[in-house]
Amino acid sequence: MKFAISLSFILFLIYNQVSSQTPDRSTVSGYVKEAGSGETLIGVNIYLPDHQTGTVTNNYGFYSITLSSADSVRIVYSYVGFTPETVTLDLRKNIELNIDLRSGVSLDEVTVTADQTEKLSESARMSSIKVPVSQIKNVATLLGEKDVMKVLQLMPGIQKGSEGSSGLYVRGGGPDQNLIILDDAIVYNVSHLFGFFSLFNGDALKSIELTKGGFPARYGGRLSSVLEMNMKEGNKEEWHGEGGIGLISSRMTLEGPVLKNKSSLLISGRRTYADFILRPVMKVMEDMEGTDAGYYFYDLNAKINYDFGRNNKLYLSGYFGKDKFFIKYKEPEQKYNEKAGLQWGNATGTLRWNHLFNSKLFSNTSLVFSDYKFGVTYKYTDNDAGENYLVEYYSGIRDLSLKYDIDYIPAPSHWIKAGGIIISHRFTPHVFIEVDESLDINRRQKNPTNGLESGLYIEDTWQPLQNIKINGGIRFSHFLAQKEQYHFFEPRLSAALRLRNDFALKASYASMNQYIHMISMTGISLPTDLWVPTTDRVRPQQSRQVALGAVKDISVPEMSFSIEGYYKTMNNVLGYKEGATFLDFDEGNPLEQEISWEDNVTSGKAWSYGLEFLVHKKAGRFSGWIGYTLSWTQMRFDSLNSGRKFYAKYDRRHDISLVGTFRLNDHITLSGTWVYGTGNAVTMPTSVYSAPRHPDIYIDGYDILKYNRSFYTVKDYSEKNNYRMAPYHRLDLGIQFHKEKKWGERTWEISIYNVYNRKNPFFYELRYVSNGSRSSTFLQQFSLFPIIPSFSYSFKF
Amino acid sequence: MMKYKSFINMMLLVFILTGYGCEKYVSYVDPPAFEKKLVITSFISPSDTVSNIYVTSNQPLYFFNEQIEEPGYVTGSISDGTREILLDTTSSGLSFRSDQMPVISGKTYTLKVWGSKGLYAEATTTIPKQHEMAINVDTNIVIQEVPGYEPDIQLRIITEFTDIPDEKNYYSIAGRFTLFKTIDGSETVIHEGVVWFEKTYITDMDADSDNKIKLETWISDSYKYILQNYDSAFLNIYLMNTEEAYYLYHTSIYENDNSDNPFSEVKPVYSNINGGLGVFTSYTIDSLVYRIK
Repeated sequence: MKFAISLSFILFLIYNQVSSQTPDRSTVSGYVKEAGSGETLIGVNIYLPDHQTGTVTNNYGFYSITLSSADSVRIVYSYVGFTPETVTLDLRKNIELNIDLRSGVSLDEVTVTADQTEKLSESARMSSIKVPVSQIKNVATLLGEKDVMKVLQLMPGIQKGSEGSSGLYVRGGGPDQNLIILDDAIVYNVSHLFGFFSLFNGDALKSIELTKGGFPARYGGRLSSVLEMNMKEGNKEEWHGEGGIGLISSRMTLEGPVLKNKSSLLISGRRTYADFILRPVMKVMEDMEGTDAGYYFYDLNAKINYDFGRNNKLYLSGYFGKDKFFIKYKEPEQKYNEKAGLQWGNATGTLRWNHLFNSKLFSNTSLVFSDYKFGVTYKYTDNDAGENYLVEYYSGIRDLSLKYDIDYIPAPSHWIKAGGIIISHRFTPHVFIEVDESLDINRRQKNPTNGLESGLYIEDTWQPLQNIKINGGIRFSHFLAQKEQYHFFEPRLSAALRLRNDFALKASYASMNQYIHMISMTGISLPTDLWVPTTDRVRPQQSRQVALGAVKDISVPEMSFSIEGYYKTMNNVLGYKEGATFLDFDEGNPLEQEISWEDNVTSGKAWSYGLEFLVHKKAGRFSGWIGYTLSWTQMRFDSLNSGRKFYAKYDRRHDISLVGTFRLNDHITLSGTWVYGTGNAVTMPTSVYSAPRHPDIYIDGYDILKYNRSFYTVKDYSEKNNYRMAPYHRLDLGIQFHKEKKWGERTWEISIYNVYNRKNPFFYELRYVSNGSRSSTFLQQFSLFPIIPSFSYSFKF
Repeated sequence: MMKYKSFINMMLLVFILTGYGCEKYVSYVDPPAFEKKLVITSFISPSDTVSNIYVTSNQPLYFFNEQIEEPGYVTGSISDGTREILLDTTSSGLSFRSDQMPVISGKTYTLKVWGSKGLYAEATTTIPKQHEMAINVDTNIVIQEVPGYEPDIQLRIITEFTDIPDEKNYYSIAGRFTLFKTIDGSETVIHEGVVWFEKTYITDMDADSDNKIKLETWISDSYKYILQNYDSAFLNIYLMNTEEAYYLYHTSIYENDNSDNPFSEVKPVYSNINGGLGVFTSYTIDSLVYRIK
């Protein structure tokens, strides 16, 4: 309460101070949109070359610059992938100026000049990555499926969990430490097909930005990263569509005006057809008579918006997606049937209201719903007896949240953001249902838990001098568990010092707290990962991160070089106890056991530090990047590994990505990706030994050489995560053939995943081989994806 | 026609590459490095006149088991903090007698072991205090209906003892039953069996609000059979007050056995041996003899 009052007072003072400025300052403000569609553009660079100052558009395409009144002011609007626009205007009074930028990239690199796109050296932000959606569509990927998460995994500091996985491990943090937001809605499980694909359809996205350090105060709730994605709004001028047909799935997006220039609609869907292919094959296979099995996933994104005028805009968007794996068996003589299934899915909905108070004050209010659920079911029907047996297990999380943010831009040297959020969480970590009609059993066990999370923040991006930019802020976070309450102040600071033209040193500090945890059994994004809250027994996770870096921008060719070092400490990170199992049913009836996930977890500390290099060319005929990360991640739990430090499973000493896209001409685009990563750390037994038990020794006499002694042969694991899997490396190549048609554009793409057929490790297994009187154990490596060619067809109209 | 031919060529290329990729994707890899260590297992108690220390070494997991490699000649010592004695060598390791080094409740003992092949390990244990735990046994007969057969009679045994208050405690319980039958007035037939309790390793978390710990067990043989065929029957209950290391070692052995479950986290066997494997721990014992018949 005190923090809220202080925050309001500070805002009032700032507003008063700026409002009382002399009247010889004028403001130019407006929206920047894409010409031909009316789609607002996020992060457009707005630069005043004569004043050596500028700004960028916010998440809704709005900008505002306040300057001393002048009869002639030159403003350049530029954005990657669009033709820059220069405007000269009379700024002796406030002006509303909306700009439409034309998309199109010249292959001639000299048209893209240094002061026309936002340079990394000019931003106070560090440790953040903006990925143009167009770049995602050009990178060669597994089975030709364009995937946001797979492209992010190619950036320094960001790793994937295992072969094919779409999970993100950012600067030593686990996959639950990433806040993934789609139109302000939190998405909890971002995987389709057990982690091989993410659920984000690139055709529906407008912007993707990942922050892995130097977090501004507006972000909170997770320790390691914030991945903010915004959906397109839809073309306000005419109907368009795009889609694609691939080996695994097909997709279609339609967007168009509901009321021209006022309201638009976007619908985007994707579905796999693996089940349509698998089912007829299984019907003709021997030993599969009576069996029907399949797997499918689908996504649906929808968004509608309405412009009430310059000052008010309303948006309603939603995402619905599901994965389902099923198997059914009908006994040939119809005596019994069996059905089993595994399914999971997300649903989100966001209602947003943008309100412009005046040319300097912009606000957004969001009401958000998010639901994630996974379930395992099994049903047996005895047709003779007419009785059923049913077992169901569910886990999920449901959120309802209200968010309010303001952007106040009183002067070019200040951009103040403030706001708050309140989230009501409902967790159902375990729901177990058992119905046995033959034994008259009907049991249900459900242990829902509620949690209330909230946050208030204020931050300012301040440019005190020409060559210094600072983003400073503070966030107050609060969580109400069953009885306990937790609250923390989270100071944030990042600063950039420009030493010379296009060269800057940067530093940042961020303190973060996390009240939601994911308990993960394996490194693969299995839906068996449980989302659980902070409770009276399980404290919030906390982190502190410092980062130092240097950035150099080059104008021709347009490239940036960055090097960044970070050190992050994390407290109260969760891990499963040794011996804990998923579905921890002890002997006897599971419903008689108290299934408490809190008894299965333990908390500890983690340290992560490293160095990241990135060379990035964003525009031109050739674009791409080289990324290298050198890092260490260690953990320590009192109750794991005898309290000794150990390397995290995803500790990766070296991580290299080479990504390139080359536009041969207007019709052909080539792409290539090469990645290398040190293997994951896993726990492998190293030896065996005899472990006698005591009571048996006692009863039989203490001489354990008696024949009826009882002892076990046990495995020694020496240390947790003591073994390194083989390094992972892979080359992917792709070629796209574009052609303009009367109705639009079509693209054929041929790509090859894992060109040199590297046997990358997926998992390891002990194999026991017996040869007469001799036996031995070998360690086997299983690999997943060999060389996989694919082709796909996509179109736009 | 040209476009059609290009399309066919593309498809052929795709299928050829797909066929090349479809091979069995399993390979053998270098296993983790093997480090030889001493394995020491010893449970000492004031009630033992001779205390044994079982010494062996770990064995490689990833090679053909042709011959078990022993740790070589081993020597050792034990110290109670004020004096240290050398241990006697036995066929299974080392030992000492109570007259050489008495094992006293409350004292801390340090064990050191050397192997002739350069291995060394050491550990300490603090002997739990001897307490009167007021063991109480109650029995009742349970008749089990068996469809198509005569009902069977089972003996249900409830063992209860008092948890030691105001300290963290770990216990272990074992039982044996002995049946006697005299034939022709001279020959005695003895039958022994193990009694399994619902929990063998217990902590004071299992105590109720009255500080009582209750454990249920059954005689493995039919009680009806005992009544019909034996003259007398006795139940021996051994209740041990142990160290935490004792409890952690034994419970981890069981969970280590489940480590091949893919949905189970690996559970290493607990060890308090510095530089080695196994456990050096201690207990005090209380016992009860209960006549069943």
